[in-house]
Amino acid sequence: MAVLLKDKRLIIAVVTVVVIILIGMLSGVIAHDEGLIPFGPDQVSKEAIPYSVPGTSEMSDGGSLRKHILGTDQLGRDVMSRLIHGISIAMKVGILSSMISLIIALLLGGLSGYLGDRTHKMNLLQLFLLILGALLIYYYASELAFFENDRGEYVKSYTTYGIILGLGLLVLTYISRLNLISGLKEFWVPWDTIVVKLLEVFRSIPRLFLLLAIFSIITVPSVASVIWVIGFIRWPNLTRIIRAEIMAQKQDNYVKNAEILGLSSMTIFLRHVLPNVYRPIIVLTALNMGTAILIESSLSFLHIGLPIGEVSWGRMLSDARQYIPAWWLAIGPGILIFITILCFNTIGDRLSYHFKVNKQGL
Amino acid sequence: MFRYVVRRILLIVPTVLVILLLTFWLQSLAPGDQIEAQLSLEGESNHMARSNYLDSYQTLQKERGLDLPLFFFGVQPSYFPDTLHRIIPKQKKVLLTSLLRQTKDWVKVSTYESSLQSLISQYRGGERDSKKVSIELSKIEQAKSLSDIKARSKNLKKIVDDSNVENEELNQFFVQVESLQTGSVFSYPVLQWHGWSNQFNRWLGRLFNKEENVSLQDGSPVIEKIGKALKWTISMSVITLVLVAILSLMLGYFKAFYRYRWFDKVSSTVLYVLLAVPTFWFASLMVIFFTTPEYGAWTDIFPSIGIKPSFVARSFLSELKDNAGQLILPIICMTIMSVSYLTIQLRSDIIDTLSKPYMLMARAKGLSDKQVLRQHALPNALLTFMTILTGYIPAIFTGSVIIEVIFNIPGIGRLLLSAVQEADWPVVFTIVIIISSATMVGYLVGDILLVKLFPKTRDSLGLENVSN
Repeated sequence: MAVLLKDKRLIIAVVTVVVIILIGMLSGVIAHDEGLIPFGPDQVSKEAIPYSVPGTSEMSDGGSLRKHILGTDQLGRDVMSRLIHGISIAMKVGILSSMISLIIALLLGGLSGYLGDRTHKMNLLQLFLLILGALLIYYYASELAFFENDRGEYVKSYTTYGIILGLGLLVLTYISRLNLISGLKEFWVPWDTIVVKLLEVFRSIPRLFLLLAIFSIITVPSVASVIWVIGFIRWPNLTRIIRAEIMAQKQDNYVKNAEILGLSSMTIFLRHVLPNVYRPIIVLTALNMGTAILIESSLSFLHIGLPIGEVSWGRMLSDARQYIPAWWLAIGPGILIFITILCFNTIGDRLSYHFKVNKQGL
Repeated sequence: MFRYVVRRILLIVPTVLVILLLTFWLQSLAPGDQIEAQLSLEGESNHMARSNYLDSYQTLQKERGLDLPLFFFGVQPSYFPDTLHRIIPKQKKVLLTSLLRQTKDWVKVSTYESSLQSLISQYRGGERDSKKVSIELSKIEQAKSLSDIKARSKNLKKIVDDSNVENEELNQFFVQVESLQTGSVFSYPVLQWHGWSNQFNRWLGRLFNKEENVSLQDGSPVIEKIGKALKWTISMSVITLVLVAILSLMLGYFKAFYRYRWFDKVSSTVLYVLLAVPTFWFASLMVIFFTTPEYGAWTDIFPSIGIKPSFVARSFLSELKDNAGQLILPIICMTIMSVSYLTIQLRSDIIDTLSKPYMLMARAKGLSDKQVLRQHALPNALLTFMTILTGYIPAIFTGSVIIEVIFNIPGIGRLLLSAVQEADWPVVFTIVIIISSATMVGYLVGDILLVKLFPKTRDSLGLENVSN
């Protein structure tokens, strides 16, 4: 820890990120009618002139002079206020979608890295029950998740769907350990091969192309769908590294000791292996957050993903292309995206240096 | 090596199959009704003569094979009838399926639907009261849930009671609506075998048929469109790749040569900062500041963006030559983005190698710093560099969507984006399939190249398993 605290670059990056997040959380207080920045993000005031140069002032209703620090956009909205309100979307997408990809990566990376090809044995009955159970859980999850929403539509609730699928996963884990009839012929389950092949399939589909194809079929754009899709798209990169880390841990003596002590593989994995891979997890999450924010702003730049009303840096940048003389539209959001990504990259790089984590291929 | 290549090629087949399944599944989830879109293009609207419309709908659906079941087999709830996919149009199918899910009773739903339809045709084109009834009936038809249907039929009942419209059939209909209840039947999944005549099969057959796989926008063959776009993308990315290789090799070498001196320090900072600059921001800034005389005459360095359209048929090369000026800026942007990462990597690898004992040996026998660097450090440090560089080979086919959009280059990325925005599904999913397959071949070529250059990487490919 002491080493980390002495690393100036790391400290600067962490502080910057924290400050940005704080400003984002307080955006409602800072940037509204009577705040420090006296404009709301969508506020088109009476006097507002489209594309007014940074520093332009205007009279407010109360008679005081208000200044557009960074000018206004094509509709006469204050750029500074929109920048501050854009923080929350970027951070939401960055943090939540990283969590999603991390959970998927831990599940699959753990499965392939810890179990490998020759740890888990199964007999045909267990395999049959596992497949049948998976199908049934999938079926009943999609049956039970339907409900009538307040707009009078009978639709699927994805929260319920997710919860049932999650519970189902636990049941499946239990089923796979159940041994109803002993004496059946057992075979190794090649978990590692399965996951590696899955990774290969996903590697061959270009990421942005898959994103575009997925977003083309989402009819109702929402922040949640952006978070889920970006979280889903990023799992292969994380899984590859976490798998390698867990494989390395497994060679360590403490795992063998625990095995000799007679601990179950589940306990060893959860209690001993997982806590030992916290370093790569922190590094990967930091780097991944930067990437997720970059993907989100790229998508918004292409006018894909987020609903039209949301304030997003990427979309502000693409608005800047409409009118070339308005350079202030391109500078602000660009610098913010750049600083955010630079900070996350620095945190990841410095931590991987201190923790000695190999982050190749992310 | 030969066996390894054969095995990799054999592995491509199942991967392509998975990608085909994935894209078909995504396509089946695509919103909108392509038959309705086609019919409205041909000038037939839903509001014209209804039976005629349904007839032409059915004909077109049959022609496209969309009346068939989706896949070889399917799983559906036990309360579903096995003829659900035959209901037309698609919008009605969706509404009825949703109602069926809610009530879980096909008999009631189908009697409700048939009496609703007969009532609608009965009241069509009427005057005054019957017109009101007709409007209410079509509102009921659009209802998206059970409670919606009930609320709207109550409205209808009020209108009927107020007016002098008397109809036994209407009363029956109200009873039927009342009898629709939220169902709580225990359901189980039923596996159905649909056989070979299904949509997936037809789609596969059509995919590589030039005449049949056409764009929904202008009716031109998808393959042709993709071919045209790929020419631009590939020529740009190949130039970029070559530039990236040369520039980063030179920069990395000089940075290592002048290590820890001011040139190294300054360029390190610049490269590290460039690494975090979003491509689209950098490109936008370039366009804003360097293509117009807006900010002083000296900033008007590059020609305005956008490929000149060509109206006469001519060779691609001459078109490329014509637009060379327009391609400079996008290529610069793409190059700078990759160069920074590669250079940083190469520099740190060379410096790592320099600390190895055999470097001390080389120095001890009297080699100069230049000789040590060129003959021993560089060749040994190139492994990671080449691994990353060969990893870029698949990107030749994808290029950069954002660069193509910003600089208006009619490449594959812009084609995909516009197809997505115009809901041109055949183009979208054919691109995904073709580019994914090309990417796989690209990875294979990259891996082979790497083994040819660095025989010691054979182990990392799992080649040792092949030999025994």
